[in-house]
Amino acid sequence: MIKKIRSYKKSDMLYPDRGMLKWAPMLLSDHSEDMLTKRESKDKNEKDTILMKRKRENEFPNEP
Amino acid sequence: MNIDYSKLPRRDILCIDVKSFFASVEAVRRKIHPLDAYIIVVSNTVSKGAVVLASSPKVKKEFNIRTGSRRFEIPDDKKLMIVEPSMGLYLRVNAMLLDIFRRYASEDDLLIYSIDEAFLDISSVTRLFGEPENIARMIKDEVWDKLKLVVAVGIGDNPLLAKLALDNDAKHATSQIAYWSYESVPYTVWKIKTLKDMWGISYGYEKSLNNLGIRSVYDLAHSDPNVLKASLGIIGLQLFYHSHGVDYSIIREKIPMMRKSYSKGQILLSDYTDKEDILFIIRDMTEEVAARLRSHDMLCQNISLYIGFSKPKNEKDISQNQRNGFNKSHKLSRASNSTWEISESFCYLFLSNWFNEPVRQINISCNDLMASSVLQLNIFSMQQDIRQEKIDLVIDQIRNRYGKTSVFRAYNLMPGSTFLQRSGFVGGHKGETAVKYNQEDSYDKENKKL
Repeated sequence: MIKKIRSYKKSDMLYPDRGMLKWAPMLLSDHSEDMLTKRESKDKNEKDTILMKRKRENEFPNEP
Repeated sequence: MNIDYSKLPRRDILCIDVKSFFASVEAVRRKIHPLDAYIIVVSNTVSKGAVVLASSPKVKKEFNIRTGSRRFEIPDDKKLMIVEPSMGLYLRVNAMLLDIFRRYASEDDLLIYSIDEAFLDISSVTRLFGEPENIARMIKDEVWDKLKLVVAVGIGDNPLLAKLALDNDAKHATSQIAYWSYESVPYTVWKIKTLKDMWGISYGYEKSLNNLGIRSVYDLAHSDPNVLKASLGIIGLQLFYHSHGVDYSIIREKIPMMRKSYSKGQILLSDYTDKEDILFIIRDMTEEVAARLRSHDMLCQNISLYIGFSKPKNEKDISQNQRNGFNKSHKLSRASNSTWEISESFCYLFLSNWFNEPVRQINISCNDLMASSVLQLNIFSMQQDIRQEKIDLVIDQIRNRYGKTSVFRAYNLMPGSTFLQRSGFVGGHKGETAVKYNQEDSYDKENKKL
């Protein structure tokens, strides 16, 4: 069975590979806009939840 | 040259592509199996020069009509169903597709490559879901169960091998799944028929390689890397190693998606020679981009304008000094998201660089973004700025609530303006198109129902 090496050392590279720069997505502007808006809204919701949780913990420290 | 593959990263990468995505979605809407349909999605059903955006697999096979073909090339056949796109629907289906992919790979291990293609690094979930082939089958089945779409999956030890497996093997295989490993390179990558079928080789590079006597991927793999580097630079070296299946890309190291600019572009349906008409279009486009800046609380500090000219119909008309267009940028006197301010700057940029050439393409871009929490005030135009800000705010609120066409400028009614025509467009094409269910029976019986 072949041992799967998951990573590599930059010094072992056979040539200066551009890595993920080669794989720049080809998206419609409306598509990337749509995805970014969804991600921003998700991030905001998560941030709000964390803030609310912290606020509750500060205001009601004894609440289980 | 012998490559020591044991020193290369070996991950489990899936490259997944929906077969004829737009055409398949249109088939599913009409309750037709995507692989049995004869659907052609064209940018415009009326214009003879309209471009084919997608065609069902059977159309490609039997009629050789593919993406990029023109409307006038489509034969008059009852089997063929010519439909307009519904870009909004395609984006929604894409979101559903990505939700399925996210069950098998974390957000970091997912690369959305295009509207119908994505890479998944499943190296860390093989213990949970099984071997890559099993995961590929599970994804394929789930996509079919939930969306009734057919996907092809390329599996590889790196993104390049996965992509090559998809394009050159999986799409033609009965199972729609193919695995290309480092060890299989001589039997897979080197057997790719033409250079243009190799990912990363464009028409220009193909010509350059041909000039070096390289006509196949096998030739490329057995050429001298030093000659390639001397001739094509680093890219030449990269192509050489690609032909050996070497790719150091790790999906997790992808460039994060972020807003660097807000832009808008359109290809005009006819040549525009009237200055006022062109300015109408530039103003319309600016209005949309400025509204997007405001909705995200951003300001732009720099703008750039690309104007593409119409190509002369006769070769004789092409003179040596003739320009194809121009691309100019301009630094704003202060960061802004005001429609009026940005629009005036675009108009200035256009008027100072345009010399009555027929215009066919316009792209505008607002760059160098910054948060709108900071605003440089201008003592000489403060009153007017406040007035403009109020107008922008009111227009944004009305449009957000009642739709884009609920309020518009009087010049949008002029024949040259494309605002009303393009108001429902997504990605430059129709956003939503209704399916005429009453026409279903008239479709040829070859379009088997799902």
